[in-house]
Amino acid sequence: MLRSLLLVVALPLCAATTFYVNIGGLGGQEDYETRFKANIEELDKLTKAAPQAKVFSLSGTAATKVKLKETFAQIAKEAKAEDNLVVTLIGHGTFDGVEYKFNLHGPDFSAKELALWLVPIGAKKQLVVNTTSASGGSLAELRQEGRTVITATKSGTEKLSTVFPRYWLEALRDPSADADKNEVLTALEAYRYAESKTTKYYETNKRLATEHPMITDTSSSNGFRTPDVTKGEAMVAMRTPVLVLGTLQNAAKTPEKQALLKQRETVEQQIDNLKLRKAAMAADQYRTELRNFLLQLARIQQELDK
Amino acid sequence: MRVSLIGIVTLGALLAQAPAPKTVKKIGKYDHTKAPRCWSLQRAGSLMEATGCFVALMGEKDPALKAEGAWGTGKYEEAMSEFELALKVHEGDPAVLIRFGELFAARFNRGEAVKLITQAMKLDEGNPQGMLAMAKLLSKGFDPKAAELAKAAAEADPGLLEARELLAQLALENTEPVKAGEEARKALAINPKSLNAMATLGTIELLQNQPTDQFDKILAINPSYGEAWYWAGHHFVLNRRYEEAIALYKKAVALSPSLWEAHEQLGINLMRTGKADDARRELETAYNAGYHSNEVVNSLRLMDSYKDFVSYKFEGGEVRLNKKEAAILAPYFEEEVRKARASYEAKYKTHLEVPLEVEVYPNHEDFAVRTMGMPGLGATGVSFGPVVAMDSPSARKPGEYHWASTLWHELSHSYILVATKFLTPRWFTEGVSVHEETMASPEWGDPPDPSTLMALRDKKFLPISNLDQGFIRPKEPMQIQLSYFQAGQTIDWIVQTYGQDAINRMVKAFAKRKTTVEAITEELKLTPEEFDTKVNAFMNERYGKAAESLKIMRDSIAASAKALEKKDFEAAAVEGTKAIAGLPPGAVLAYAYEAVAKAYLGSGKKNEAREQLRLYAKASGRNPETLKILAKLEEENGDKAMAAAALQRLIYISPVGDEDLHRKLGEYYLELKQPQRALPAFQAQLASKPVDPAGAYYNLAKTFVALSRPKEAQEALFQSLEVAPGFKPAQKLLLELENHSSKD
Repeated sequence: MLRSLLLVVALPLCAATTFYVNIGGLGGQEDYETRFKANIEELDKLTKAAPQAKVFSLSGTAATKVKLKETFAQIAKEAKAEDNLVVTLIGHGTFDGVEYKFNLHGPDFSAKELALWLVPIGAKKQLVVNTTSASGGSLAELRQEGRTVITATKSGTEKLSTVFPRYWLEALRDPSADADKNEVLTALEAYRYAESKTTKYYETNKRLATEHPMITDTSSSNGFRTPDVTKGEAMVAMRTPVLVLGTLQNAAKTPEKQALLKQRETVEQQIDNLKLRKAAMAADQYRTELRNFLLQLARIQQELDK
Repeated sequence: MRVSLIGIVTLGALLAQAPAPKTVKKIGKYDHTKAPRCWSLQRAGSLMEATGCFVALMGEKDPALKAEGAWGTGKYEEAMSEFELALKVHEGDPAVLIRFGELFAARFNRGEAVKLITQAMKLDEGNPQGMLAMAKLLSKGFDPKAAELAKAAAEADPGLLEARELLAQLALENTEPVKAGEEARKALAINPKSLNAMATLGTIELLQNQPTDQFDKILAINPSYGEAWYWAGHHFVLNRRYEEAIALYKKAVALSPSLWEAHEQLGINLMRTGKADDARRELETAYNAGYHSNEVVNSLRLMDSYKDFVSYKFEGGEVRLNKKEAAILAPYFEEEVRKARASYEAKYKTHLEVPLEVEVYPNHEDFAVRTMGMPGLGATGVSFGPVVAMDSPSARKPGEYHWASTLWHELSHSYILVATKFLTPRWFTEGVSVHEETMASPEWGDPPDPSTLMALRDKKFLPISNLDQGFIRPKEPMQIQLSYFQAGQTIDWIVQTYGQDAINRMVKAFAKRKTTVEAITEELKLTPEEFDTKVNAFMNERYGKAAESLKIMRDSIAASAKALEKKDFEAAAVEGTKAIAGLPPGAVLAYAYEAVAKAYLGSGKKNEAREQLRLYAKASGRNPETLKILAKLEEENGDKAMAAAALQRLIYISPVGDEDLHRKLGEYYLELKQPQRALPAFQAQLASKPVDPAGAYYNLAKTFVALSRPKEAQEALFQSLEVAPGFKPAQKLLLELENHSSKD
């Protein structure tokens, strides 16, 4: 099931545009200014390299509330339903117990305001990655059916500076984050990578964790720390792409290759179905069938790569 | 007799059920003589008479005596409330405060005990009983002041038998058997039936592997005096002779089944030697009898957590690891145990008939409880003969602990203890262990830190004849650390000057009960004074210059750090270089190299930075991030072998929770065509719950292919592709393996 869903997502990517809005906030101190600037620069570099990407980068003095509002309004005009939207916030966030705000030059914007700016945008697959301190405080306002929201903290009360953005960026540049190796880094894969590294950072350094990343993709969920897709958790995030890697967009150029792609999809679906039946099967039978499918798939891929 | 016993118990029960109203009445002076008679009867084994005596006390009007009666019959709560009342009735009487304090001490509340006895001492500074009570309390923590107070008590009251008995015990704890014997004989002069003094004399003989009739004499006086064997066991534990201690504790509980502290110590030492089931039985016996000492409670709690551990057995050894990190650590621990065993058996010509057992605790306080029954232990490893308990690398912050060094250190004890028949002086076994750390790898030892260099400069080291005191009863907090360093240097010098054979000859000398002075005189042909002079000269030759330049070193490092902050890399390099100029890596504080390397990196001088970081590693620099930078610089320089060597160091420092380390290391080794070394690295990557399991299995598959283990390679590929069926490199390798096997 996982594979077939991904293919449904992945193949139209050739035509879809991904709108990236990379927002760098106010550092306040030299250390943070330097760090946020470096993070935004890296994020820009990674997203600009993605196929069919349209990148809006706003940081430093350019990142003002007015400018951001204009940017989202422009995207609302351009984005179609099949397009993707990825909004990433890097900086400081605050939460006063009621309202989350992202720190900018001039007036800050609130989670509620950001949610309003996103409403007119037609792209069905939306991802908001809020990597700031207290970002958990933005989750309730930003969550919406079908939109994936990732926050660095579980609540607005986790107010210390976060390491999550470091690992989120690492996920975007490290091919190993693409856990299923289908050349599409999904929101769930990137989240799992960054969450795992963040957790290990605190464990290894024997520090009390001051941030607990969360992910949600429904309008009602309070989010999951470690979502379990077998329980239906983070199913939208699993289908929401963050980056397309490799040469996937060039795959279907000839009729022969299109036929092979169809065959590949069939085998992949058979593998997914087999995996779903695994618990009810004898181990030997499962292995034999899986082995046969995997060999078939490998041979098809061999032909595709010729 | 049976009837009268029931009568006594019934009377006791009635008294317990109907306590007298707690009103404060002044009832005259506290009669200090009544209760000691009851306690003497109990000590002499006249239990019936003692019980009768205590019950009689419970019928007294004086709450201080009632308290003694309740205490003697095991009614501790009642004893406490009577003592509280007694404090009001006998306001300002230090004797009551002291006895109340002693009750608290006996019921595991050291804090209250210290408070009350201190209060008593303020009222009567020279009170012999007070000094004795405080000495007993301090002796539990091996505080050197205990002996001073016991001596003062004995001098203040020459008839105070317990003070002499305690002095004898303390002298023996201090490895001064002659003095212990003298004190024991003084106690016997006060009371020829002093069972504790006899126990000390007997223990001295047993520790020297000599026959003794002292315990027969004790039994003749009191056939159920298990305390004598309990104390003997205590001294055997201090001498690391755990199996013999266990036998003594067993005898103690057999003679005196309600001697709960003996059950406690028997349990703890059974646990130390890896006999968990027997240990639990003893500890539960004590616990169920209401003996809820911290040691008993902590140890039982720890044993409950053993279900989270898994055991790996192999030829000559066994490693027990917490399940959550076992798969990462097991191959590395096994390799080091095997290597250490082979090395020590050859070097010390000693074969251990039993496997070496290593227990590894990810929670430091669990290790502390495992070792002492109590949290708060500063050490990272302890050897109980062939059983070693130690901190896991995950128990410490990355960079502050080298687990392999600790493992070799502790396993060295296992051999020296056996080879010397457990008669080694402390300095010798510790010195050999410290020496062995650097024999395994010169980078594994701990180079002298600033305070050690200062001690060298200020000539603060102890003479060899007295070095054991630095371990057992340090006079200042730093002395233990200095003694480890000095002992290690001493063994380095002996090996360098006389060769390994001299060490082995000394081992044999100690096994024949030779003292340190005798061993040095006979085996090295040196007087202790000559020996001290030569070892000091050796240490000065190695580290004297560093000690003299300590101030320059520190000032330069500070100046370098300041320049780095200002991004003045040139100045940072110049200042940092001053700190290391003319000194070998082993004598330089590692962070000096780190500072210089950072300065070079800041100014883009990668080659120079790499050279400095190599020296940093040689100087036992252990910051994981710094060593990773070294690996990166080595890789950029095209030297994968050096890059792998840089990362390999981290396996011994911080291998848990760092999947990238294992992956990178495995990749280096595969590229270097060393699949046998890549295998544990990739296995550890997989065990680290990687974010990319498909990639981790694929790495493993490639390694198995390189090792010509196609079946395991196929299995690993199967796992990889099950996670990520479209993983192209894995698909390609799967087809290659299929083609290969179909040709076969």
